[in-house]
Amino acid sequence: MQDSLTGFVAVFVYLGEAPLLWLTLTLGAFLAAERLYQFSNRFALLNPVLISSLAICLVLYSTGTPYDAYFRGAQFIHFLLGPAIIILAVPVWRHRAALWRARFAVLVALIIGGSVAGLSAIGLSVLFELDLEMAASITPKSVTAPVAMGIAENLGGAVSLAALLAVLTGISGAVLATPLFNAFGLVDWRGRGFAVGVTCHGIGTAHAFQLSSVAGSFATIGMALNALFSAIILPVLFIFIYG
Amino acid sequence: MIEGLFFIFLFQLAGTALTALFGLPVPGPVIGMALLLIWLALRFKTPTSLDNLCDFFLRYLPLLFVPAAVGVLNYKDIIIASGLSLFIILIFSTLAALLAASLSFIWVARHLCPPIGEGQRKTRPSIGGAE
Repeated sequence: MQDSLTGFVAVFVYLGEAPLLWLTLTLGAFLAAERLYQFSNRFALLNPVLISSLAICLVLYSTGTPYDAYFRGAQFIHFLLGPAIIILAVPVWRHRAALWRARFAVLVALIIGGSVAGLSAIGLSVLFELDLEMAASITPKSVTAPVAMGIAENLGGAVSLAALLAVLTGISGAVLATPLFNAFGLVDWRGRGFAVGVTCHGIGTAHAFQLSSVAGSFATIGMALNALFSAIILPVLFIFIYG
Repeated sequence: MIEGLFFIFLFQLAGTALTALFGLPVPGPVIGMALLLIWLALRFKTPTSLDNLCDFFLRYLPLLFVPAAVGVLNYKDIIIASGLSLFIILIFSTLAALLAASLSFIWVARHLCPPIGEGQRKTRPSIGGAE
């Protein structure tokens, strides 16, 4: 028994060194989480990104595997994020008429949504008496991670913490958006999608595309516009309140 | 498939190069997306190879965020130390922003730009079990 156990551990350690194990685990965890999500009739808290990430964290933590070792395998999936953002131009082009028609709503919702996202984060940071580094890291949380990192650095925050908080915001939006919009009786896919894009960037946009391609296209525009808008407005707001 | 990938990588490369060249504050892929959009507008038709690849990517877009999300693991200490206040800020701020953006959008849209006839421009991605 002891021998077979050490044998198993040895094989596991051997496989853990190679990228294939973690790549396979990531795909498997996601497929299983998606099954669970469909099976639960899309229960919001069982969001596939949330559940599969938690499950993988649990596996890594219990086997003592460092994130870097995991990422050696998972990087092949992570790499596809760049190409995936490029290809979002295609659905945007498909829905160009609807987007152009809603341009005034897009503009107003960008200014209001982007400002509320930043102001509420700064205001709550003051309320919870976060130190400057923490507050600067959470302020750009509604901006897509690469841009959020740049903004946080400008404000005096921690770059990697900013990326983490952006990802967590994306997941929380993917979980909360649908129940929230349903509770308020909002049925316009354009507005639902755009709000999710502005507030919850990539992960929110990915979620929106699973529900409606109109929502996804508006989310794409919201994500892109808020990256620009926040990069300009957040430093001003932050220094005004925290400085 | 390969042709579609070629186009995508080409535009990502161009976007990344432009970002590096001019020190733009926006990430390379976002510039690449804008460039692809301009190209589609000039061409006025999406190549079939891109159309097919697009549906595949959209279907599995959430999966691509999983490796980044697992990065939470690197921040156990911060999460244990001040996770609760960060969590509360994150949730309430997200709820407020979602409501502000969607309500303002829908309010303006109702007065200025009602949706095009429902279903006209709707192409839903396949959900579940279609592969």
